[in-house]
Amino acid sequence: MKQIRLNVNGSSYEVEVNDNERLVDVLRDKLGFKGVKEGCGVGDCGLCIVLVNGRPVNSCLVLAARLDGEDILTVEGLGSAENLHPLQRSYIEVGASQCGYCIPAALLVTHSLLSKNKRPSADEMRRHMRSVLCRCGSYLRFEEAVKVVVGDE
Amino acid sequence: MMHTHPEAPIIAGGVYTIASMIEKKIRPHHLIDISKIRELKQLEIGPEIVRAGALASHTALMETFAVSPAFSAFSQRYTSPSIANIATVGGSMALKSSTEDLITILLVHDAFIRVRTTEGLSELPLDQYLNMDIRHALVEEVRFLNPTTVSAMFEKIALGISYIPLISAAARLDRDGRGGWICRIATSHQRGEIPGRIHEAETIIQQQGPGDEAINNAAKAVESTIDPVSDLMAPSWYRKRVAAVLVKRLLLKLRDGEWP
Repeated sequence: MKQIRLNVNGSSYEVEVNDNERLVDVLRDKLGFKGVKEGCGVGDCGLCIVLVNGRPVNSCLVLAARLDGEDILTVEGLGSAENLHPLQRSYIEVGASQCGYCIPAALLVTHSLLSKNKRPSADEMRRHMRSVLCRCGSYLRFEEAVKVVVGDE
Repeated sequence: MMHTHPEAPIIAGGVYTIASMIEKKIRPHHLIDISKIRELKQLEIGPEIVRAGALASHTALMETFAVSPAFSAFSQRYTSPSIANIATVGGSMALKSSTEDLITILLVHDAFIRVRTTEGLSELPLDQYLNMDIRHALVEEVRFLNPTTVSAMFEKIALGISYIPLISAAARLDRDGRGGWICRIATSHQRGEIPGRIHEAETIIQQQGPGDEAINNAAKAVESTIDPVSDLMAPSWYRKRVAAVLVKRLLLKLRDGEWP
């Protein structure tokens, strides 16, 4: 076991982890961030994506012990039920969420993209959204939500 | 550590390792993580040569060389940005696999690879490394021609959500400064599932120049030289044919200056 410090959603957590423990398990089972979803577990579906130092990363493919001292953002850190993030509001507005399982990852990928580029092209949006497998096929709605946020619609 | 624990394998790449652990293909008792060795993350960009540490990420390469058509295509046809953020140069090299687009691209950038074994450090051409059965070799660095100084392109036909290449190809076409041509051609499946350069096709272009007939002959040489695997995604003959088409297309675009 190893003691590490993770900065999750702006708060610091000391946590004991096994060397082979994945970030997704630590976030969900030890720290209670259930907004992090697991899908395929081998990096294909992207449902477990969180932001590590602002960049999207599949948390099923990263050992937690590697991230000692790093900044992590999960969907819980994006907004709250009382105070939704503008992206969350736009997802609701355009009806981007169907089953909802991929939405935490989709929101984080979109948030990361918009932090780097305030007006991403359609191609850029599509390339980034490839990170997330949405079985409901809501990709066009994800794009609409981004347009709402950047003020194109 | 390699001397004291010769039985310990060097496992390529964290992404691959963890996926393999989940699928129970490997069950390591102990893992020694080298991801915090800062020196291995460095990307040193010289006017002609780039040195990429084994832990430099694919994203770092894509962002640094976004103006290069080959690296731009690498980025456009990549599985997903979230994987590119954690996948490393060293991981790709150590895997020696057709799934690693970066190998095909670096082959046409005349890449050399520096590996550490129990016998010490050695540096060898990437093409040679891919054909050697080196065990217990730790990839430390890859050096290659600065992509902004050469004319190279990359293309792939991919399937599935992981964008695994059915076949991919890269080509480079430059003047050598003495009126001749420098040509490099590589595919993802030169032998089985191992990428490699197609020297026969390169020689045709270098000797005859990039005329229509020479390009056709180079494409035919690709088709007749490579020996790709047959698997669920495609039979070998199909991969050969598509490789020839991709190489012809790339050479024509390079010759005619049809940059994306």
